[in-house]
Amino acid sequence: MPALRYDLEDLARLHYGRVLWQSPETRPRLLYVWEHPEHPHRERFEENRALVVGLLECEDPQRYVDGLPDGAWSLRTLTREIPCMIWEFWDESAGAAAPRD
Amino acid sequence: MPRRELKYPSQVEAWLADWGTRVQSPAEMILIGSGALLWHAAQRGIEMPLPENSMDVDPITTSEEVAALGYEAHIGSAFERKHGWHVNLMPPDALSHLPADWRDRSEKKDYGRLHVIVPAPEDLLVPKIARGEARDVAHAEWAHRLGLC
Repeated sequence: MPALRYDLEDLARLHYGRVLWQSPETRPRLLYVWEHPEHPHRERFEENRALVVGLLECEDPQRYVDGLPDGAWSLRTLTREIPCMIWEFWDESAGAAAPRD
Repeated sequence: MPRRELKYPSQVEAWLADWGTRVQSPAEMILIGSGALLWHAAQRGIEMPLPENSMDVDPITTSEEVAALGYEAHIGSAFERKHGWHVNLMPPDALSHLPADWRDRSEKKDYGRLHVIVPAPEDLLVPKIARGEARDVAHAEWAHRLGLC
């Protein structure tokens, strides 16, 4: 359970980002959306990609954030670096994204 | 604008029956919100509609399959165009608004490999009553009128 309270939308973004990241079927679709040339947060995602992927793959998000150097991130702020879902791109991804090894 | 056409208990039962045919591996879902109240009515053979329609159901899951199904049923999706409402995946933290011992009173039902857990009506109403919004009050009154709690 996150140490800080933040709204359900943030919590859902983190939770379902992590759930869908685990699946070889849905991870490419998430990346299709986040890397889409028209996604307004694409560049920011690329800047912080390693941190976001770490958050999605770690066992304990709070512990992961607490372990980052310099205290630059909170769970709330790093969660908000997960790009928002744009449903139009998600629908496109069904035909476009291929599972990666 | 999202559509708001969820009002009959049978709509929730039909949705779960459909997802039960799609889930390939054992999966669990917890259902809360007005969709859960409709589920309870459906289990009792009640088809009285909600006094104010809902625009979504609120499931919680850690299953990749179920989460993916939820993502396909977003606002503006083909699912919403077909059903008139959408799926709003909620995080597990949403359960913190329920009484801590809600599981003791919950009901369960299997739809194929999909195991659905639904908090008791009286527990579902706790956050609704706390919000006190007109629709939530109407749903609470509906639940009481039907004898769900």
